[in-house]
Amino acid sequence: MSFGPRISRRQILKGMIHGTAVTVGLPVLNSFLNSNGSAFADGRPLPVRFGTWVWGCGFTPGRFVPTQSGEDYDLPVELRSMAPHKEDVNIFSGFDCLLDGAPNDVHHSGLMSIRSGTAPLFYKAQHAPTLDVLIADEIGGDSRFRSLELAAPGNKEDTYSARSQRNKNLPELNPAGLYQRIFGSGFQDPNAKTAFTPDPKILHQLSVLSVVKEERQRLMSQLGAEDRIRMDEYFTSLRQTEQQLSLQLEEPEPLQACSIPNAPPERLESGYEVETVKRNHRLMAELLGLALACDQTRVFNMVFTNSFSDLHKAGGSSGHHLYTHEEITDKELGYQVEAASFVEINMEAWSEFLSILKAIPEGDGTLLDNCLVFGHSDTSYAKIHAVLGIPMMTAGKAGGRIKTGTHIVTNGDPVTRVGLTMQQVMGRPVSSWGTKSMETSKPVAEIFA
Amino acid sequence: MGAKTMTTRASRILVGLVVGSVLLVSGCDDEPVVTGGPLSMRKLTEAQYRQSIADIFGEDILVVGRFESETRTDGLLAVGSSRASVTEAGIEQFYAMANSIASQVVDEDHRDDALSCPATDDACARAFFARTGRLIFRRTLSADELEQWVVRSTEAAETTNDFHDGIATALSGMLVSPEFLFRIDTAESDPDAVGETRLSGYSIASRLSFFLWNTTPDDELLTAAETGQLHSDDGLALQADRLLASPRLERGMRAFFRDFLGMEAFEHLQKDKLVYPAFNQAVTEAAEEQILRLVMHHLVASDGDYRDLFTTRDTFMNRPLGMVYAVPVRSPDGWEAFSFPEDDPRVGLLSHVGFTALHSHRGRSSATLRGIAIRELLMCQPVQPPPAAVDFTVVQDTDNPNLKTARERLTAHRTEPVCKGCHQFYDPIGLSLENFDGAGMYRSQENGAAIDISGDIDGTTFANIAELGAALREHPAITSCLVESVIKYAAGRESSVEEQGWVDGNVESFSANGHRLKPLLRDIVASDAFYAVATETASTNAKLDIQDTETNE
Amino acid sequence: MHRRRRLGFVLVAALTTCAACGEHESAPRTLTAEQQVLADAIVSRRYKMKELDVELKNLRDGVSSENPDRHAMAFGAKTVRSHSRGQLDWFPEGSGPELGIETLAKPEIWQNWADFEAAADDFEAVSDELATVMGDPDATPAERSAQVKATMASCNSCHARFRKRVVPGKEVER
Repeated sequence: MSFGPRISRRQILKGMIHGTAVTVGLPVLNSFLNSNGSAFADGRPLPVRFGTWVWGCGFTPGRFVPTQSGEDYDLPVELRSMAPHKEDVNIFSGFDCLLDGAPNDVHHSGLMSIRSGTAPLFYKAQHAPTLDVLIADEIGGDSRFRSLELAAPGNKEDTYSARSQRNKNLPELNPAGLYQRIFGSGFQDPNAKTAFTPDPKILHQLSVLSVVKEERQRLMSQLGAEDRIRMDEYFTSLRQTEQQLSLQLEEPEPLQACSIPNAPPERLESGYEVETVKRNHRLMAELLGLALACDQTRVFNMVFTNSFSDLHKAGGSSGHHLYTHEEITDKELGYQVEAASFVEINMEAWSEFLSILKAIPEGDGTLLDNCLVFGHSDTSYAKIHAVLGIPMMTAGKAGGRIKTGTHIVTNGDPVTRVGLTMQQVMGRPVSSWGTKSMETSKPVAEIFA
Repeated sequence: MGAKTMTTRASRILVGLVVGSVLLVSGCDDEPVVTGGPLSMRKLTEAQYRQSIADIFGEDILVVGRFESETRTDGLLAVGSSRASVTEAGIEQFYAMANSIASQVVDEDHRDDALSCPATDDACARAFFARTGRLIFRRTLSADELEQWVVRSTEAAETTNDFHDGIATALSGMLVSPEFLFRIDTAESDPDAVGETRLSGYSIASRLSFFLWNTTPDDELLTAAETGQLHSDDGLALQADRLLASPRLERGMRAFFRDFLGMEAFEHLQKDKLVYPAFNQAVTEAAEEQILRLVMHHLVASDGDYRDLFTTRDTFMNRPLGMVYAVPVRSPDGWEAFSFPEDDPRVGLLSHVGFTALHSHRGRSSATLRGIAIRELLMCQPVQPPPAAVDFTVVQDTDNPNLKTARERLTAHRTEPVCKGCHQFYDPIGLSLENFDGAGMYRSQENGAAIDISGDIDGTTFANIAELGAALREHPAITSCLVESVIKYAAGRESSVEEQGWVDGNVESFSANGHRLKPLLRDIVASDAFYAVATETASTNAKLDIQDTETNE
Repeated sequence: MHRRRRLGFVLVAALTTCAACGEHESAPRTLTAEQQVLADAIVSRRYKMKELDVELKNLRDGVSSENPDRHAMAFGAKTVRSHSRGQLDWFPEGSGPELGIETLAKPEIWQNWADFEAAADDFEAVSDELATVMGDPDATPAERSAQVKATMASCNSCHARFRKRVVPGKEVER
């Protein structure tokens, strides 16, 4: 997790294997930052983090999409909670998921089109890794966690980050579990005042894992093509565990923005009831912010509500999803009132999420300034599972790599333009992304800084 | 990408029709063609992982950690296990579990059982890793392998000056190895058929054990593999019969029925607290257990006819369920046998809360969901999802005071041309269960109107649930679906059409044996077809060239 | 509305014997990978036609309703337009009844491809107009109704010539 040069495990092992004591020699910084606070003293920039934030069942047509494009965009009623963040976000409207006649698998096709660039050809399918996985492959390699997935409702099925259909990233389900994962055993306080002594046992753990790795050749040779891919995914994942052990052999760099929180309460109830989700989301977002500030990971995926949106209010007779389908449009108001109330709940939570990231000072700004957060839903008009014009937003300045505070409108351009843009911003050397009608090589260049 | 498309799957089916029909026409009609499938690599499920640890190290070893979700593929989680891999977070969890398990195994309470050697030296370590490694990897370790683990253990012990700590360090590695987390088939040359390959004895042992006991092969099974017994009909039959006769068979069959009936949905089953205040966590758990108990008692303990599950009045009850069923339960805790009286509206599996409440909405029943569950789960007749743009405000007019019952509200399903093509296939069946609300509780009327539960299924009419049960009992799809699903579960994949003859043969035998589960299991595990290995199969190729006998590299 | 189903079933249902539901048995024969692609095209176009069916129904309901959902109609019309683009691709050469898989497509399609193309072009044009009208907040109810009728007419005229008659009660869905 350090930002500096890494000493390879091999170098360490060569010198150490027979139990001689070790002090890992990495340059200790005299000061944290350069004079204008935008980089470390030796010139290395603060890391840019990428994350996604998903809510289910879209928006209410006519009440969400700003009517003005460009920098002077308005905030319609369902976006009013975004007022504090207007300058930090970009809103994208009019981008469509082009299914090319693939079936519209409800609450899935839109999501997968946005996140993987390819419309699922059949039910529940996924044909390419989600973009966060691709970005994590690019920037997450040195982190303790390649990425962190979080599901506010507490259901492990609520995860939309996957290398493949059958290898979905396992999300954290509650604040206590997330706390343990980040700040429990294995956590190294970058700002620790005590002298750093690596645990020599770790070398042996790494040595043991190398026995496992040595089996790779033999195992691969006896497998068919599809199983080789799966075995390869296993070993890729195993590398991350090795990575986590190796990091514990190095003294972490001090990080100004990092602080260790108190543990949250154990055994908090989870579920899809609005107040429960909001509370768990808030607690998990706070922990996530610190995890980012302490550079435990640089990629995250938060699911506020699942794509089907099982969100419901205490005492309410129905839930968001059923309202979108069964609520009769109000004759005077012209929209589904109950369903719309849930959209506002989702946007309030999105706003709160951004406020939490903003509340952590980092460099000469905030953590959010060094993030690129992609907020999106699975559908636009949930009543008919429309995948045209699915709402998408970015939040954060990505360390200055993008401009913010604007509303970009197109007339049916593929959603993959936005996904491509974000991958390019995050440093993936990719000039086109997506398949069939959603294949594009045209990022949303208006937001490049 | 590894995603199985319609293309490969359907192509296997279609192309296999050629092979199957050619061979059947040309050769013997009696013996099904033994073609087999590819070597499989199946990830352990959570239940299998836990049971394996318990069997290897003892029931009191705690397994604390989180498992990745399983994917239902081709109708079963078991098939999903043949496609799954492990993510970074998944390995992190497995590694943490491995460390925790290993440290428990060598702690003062357990080390004597685990190590059982007088001295804490290399020989002891070697004996431990040989014995334990064999159980973990489901095969004997080679000398080189064994040496690797012993060396690591010794080196770790030197650093910490703790022999047991060294053992635990190495053991953690074994427990996170792919050869533990996955069961990977291996093949060997067939000495009885030059140029052919056959499944190794170890892989036969694995298939047997995971299918029947849902756990890793025990010492006796591994020995049978090593001594070649599993390659002889008698030796295989001996082990098969041992596993079938054991009380541990129930664990294996619980795992199957849990998968078959989609019961993982119980984990997230939530009912509207205002509408169904009685439906709490205790009821949810009990509802699942009640079904499993009923099925186990009927099929495993009593060796009964599978079809009777749809017509039986016998079940089990506990206090939480007694509240929901509105029946008295004598035991304050625990379960007791229970029978619905002759005139009771409840009869058979479908009238159980674990079926009706599972296939309902949060706050109301659903004839469509129940009908679909019967078609898909119990009859293996999958249905199309609804087109995305269906406007439910038109069809599900729940606020209309004139539409009192579900049958009335679902009129559009029956009358609209756009809807009825699909809905006529399952709504009528589901509507027969409308006496049970969204929590599975009985009601004689809905909104003051009588509930009409008559209907028809594939030409057979019924007036009530008893008659529905009787109709299902006689429906060939009910029994063929069970057989096909058991085979699919055991193999971790859809049967190819080359294997259709064998599958059909099992359906016939199932019938001839009174639709009892154990003879079906025995037929499967004692057959050649279950272990047959196809060398180059269509699962990796779109085209099947039946002349092609290239082996996997 | 949780569902657990897959779309690939239709092909299986169409091909394998289904004793319980009385579907016809198909004769075994060789299918190459290329023919497999054609079989997939049949299955997926049946589903897409179903989607069109529903979209048009929603539009018909909308124009005859006192409180139409204008947004749903706008989205729906765009879906119709998007589907209209692919009509010719949905009917690759060889994906007719000769493949032996249940389909409502008549051989006329490929025997009179130029006419079929013309019908597809007509549908595309009328769908373009439909999307425009439905997306226009100033369009009058009469204009909307007329455009839906025109779209239906386009569907029906193509079906009359190129689709087998659907017998009520014997719809081939599921």
